[in-house]
Amino acid sequence: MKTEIMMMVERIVRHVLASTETKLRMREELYSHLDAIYTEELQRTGNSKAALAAAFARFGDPQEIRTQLQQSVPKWKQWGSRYNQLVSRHSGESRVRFAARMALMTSGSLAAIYIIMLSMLYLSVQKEELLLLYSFLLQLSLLFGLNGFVAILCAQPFVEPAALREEMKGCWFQGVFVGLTTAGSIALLWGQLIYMHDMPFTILPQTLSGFLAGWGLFVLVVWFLRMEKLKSFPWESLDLND
Amino acid sequence: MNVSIQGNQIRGHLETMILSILEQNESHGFEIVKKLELAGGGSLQLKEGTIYPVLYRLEDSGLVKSRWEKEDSGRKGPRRKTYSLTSKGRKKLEAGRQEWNVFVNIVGTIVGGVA
Repeated sequence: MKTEIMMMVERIVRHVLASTETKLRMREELYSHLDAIYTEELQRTGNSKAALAAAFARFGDPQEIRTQLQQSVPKWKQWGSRYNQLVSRHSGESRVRFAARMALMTSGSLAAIYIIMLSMLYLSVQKEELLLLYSFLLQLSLLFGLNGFVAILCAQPFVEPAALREEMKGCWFQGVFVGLTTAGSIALLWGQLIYMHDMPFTILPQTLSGFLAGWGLFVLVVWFLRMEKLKSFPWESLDLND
Repeated sequence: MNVSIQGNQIRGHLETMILSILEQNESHGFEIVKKLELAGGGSLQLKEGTIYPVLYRLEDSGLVKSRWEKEDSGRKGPRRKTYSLTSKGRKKLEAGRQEWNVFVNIVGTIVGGVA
């Protein structure tokens, strides 16, 4: 019966535009109330099916409660949730497609920002300099997009609980890939620095610590995302057939 | 005469009614519904899930505050959230009561046929 109660709660909350934290709070609270009504009705009727039907009837129409819950969420929080939906993996979307979509969004947004910035500089900077700057910034936005693609592709199996269970066997590939790309990037950067600036070999520890700090931050973000996903996974994995 | 008061009739007054219940004691959602029903003498027919949007609005406006029940409270079942009135909520309740008195005086005079 617990699953039926959870499904009723999920019918109400799933499509509410609100932050993950707010929705978790709603789920927990509505579940607690429905569970209390169900227990009361079960004591009264002695029949679990009848008790469940009575509990749902007492609780009210899911659609109506959802509409009212949505109205209780401030508009700015609803926009935050819309953005979250945009940058989350859609149902049925493959991991590669999601990573590619995110990479395109990152590159596109950065390119748009750079174009706006450079348009503002149009009058004060010489055209040749502007062209050079534009080409550099465009490359930079492409680089960010590519980095985003690799990072998202690597992070996904660790962020998504379902994927973690089912695709853990494939994770060694991501681990090796991440290790090799990190080592390769350090080697390239180090080599370039020595070649261009005649830097001493002692620069290696600094370079290495910079990369390690970057990866540390990456792991921290992945860990936070995973913790958030783990909390809502029991709810979001329910199949509501709607 | 057995009269029942249902959803649409209650909706506009639910905020003040909940504030009034919380004025007596802090309560969780299920308890608030029980107290409302008890106070209504069985005439209030409230869909229980509809109190939560109201509670969230009240909390967002700073009229009530909430705290989660501790995991080690000894009670079986999922943890509950307890709501209590803030000082801003008390002022709002007072204003709500005055508005209600004005409303009852005016509408009562018209509908009651005294005028």
